[in-house]
Amino acid sequence: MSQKRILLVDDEDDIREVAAISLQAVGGWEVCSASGGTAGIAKALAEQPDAILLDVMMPGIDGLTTFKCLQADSRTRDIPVILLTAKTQAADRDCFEKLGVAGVLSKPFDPMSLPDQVGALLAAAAEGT
Amino acid sequence: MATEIAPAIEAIWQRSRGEIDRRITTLEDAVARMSEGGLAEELRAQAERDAHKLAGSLAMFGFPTGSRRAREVEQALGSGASAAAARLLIAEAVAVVREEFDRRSLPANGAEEITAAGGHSSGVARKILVIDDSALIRGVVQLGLEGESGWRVRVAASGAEGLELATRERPDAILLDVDLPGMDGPATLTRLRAHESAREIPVLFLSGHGTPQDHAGLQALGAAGVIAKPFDPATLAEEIGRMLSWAR
Repeated sequence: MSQKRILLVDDEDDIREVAAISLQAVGGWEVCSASGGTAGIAKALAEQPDAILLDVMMPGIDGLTTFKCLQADSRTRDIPVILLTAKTQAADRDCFEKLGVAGVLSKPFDPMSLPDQVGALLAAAAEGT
Repeated sequence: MATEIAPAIEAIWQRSRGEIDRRITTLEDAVARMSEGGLAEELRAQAERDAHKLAGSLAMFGFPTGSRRAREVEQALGSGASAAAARLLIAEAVAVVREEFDRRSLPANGAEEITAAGGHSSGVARKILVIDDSALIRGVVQLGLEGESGWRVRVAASGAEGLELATRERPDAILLDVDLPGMDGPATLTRLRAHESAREIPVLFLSGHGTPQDHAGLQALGAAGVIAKPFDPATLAEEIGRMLSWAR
């Protein structure tokens, strides 16, 4: 079975690096990354990852706009997207989930449990489809 | 598994901590400006962004409290921070973030990583406050102590600003210009000695008056020593360490 690949999109170098280490070493994912929305969309098109972990608050094209662009393109529409957000209020999360994302994860995340959380959200999203 | 990724996360921390330190310093600058009653919108917005980034990253490196407090700072700054209660919350939360960062910054393997030329046995990077109205002198001190020795330097351009920073930040030592405009160096020293949270901090005068009599007079005021201007930034840490008997 080929290794599953996840695309990380976050403007913060340290967060991207820690998430990558966590998902690779603990979760067994193959990881590619981008530091902004535009680069993230390009990577998603080129790499066709199995999932995308997408920061909401980024300079330039933010996470929600990036998600809408991914949804608007038939080549990336079906890639499940998990949003990473500092907004922890239930109303914010409901709002994000209604957009059709596979899940929402809170920042800061725990590097040790991040892969399990990603896996659980993707499994739940797959069941729901 | 934890041990497998811990070294990698530690390496990321080592690469990132300079930027994290800069962000905390921005928050501290915002606190200082707020206490003076004038936080410019540009600095407020930058501090809010930096607090947001700190909140998102600090917990990954092992300080969840710092992360949580940074989030409080972000929210308080975002709400305008005009109320006195909000300003107090921000000041207290930023102090907690700084304290946790400094504690986490201690090198795990002792003195090898951050040791000043005139450093000290515990390997902790010293925090020095320089109070001088000359931007050039402040810059040279920063260059010498931060660039050459890995110490951290806080700067103040006046006696009043220095007093505020000294009581809030509790530096390991203060470099104090003698000829400050307004409240001069000796007057600032007197005020420092009268303040409970600053009276134990050793003070070294920076003086352009080089006679032994001048220096003796300054030391009689309660200074731990006098550093003559001009000084060599490359050996400044060593000179401070020697004057304050900080072990190598």
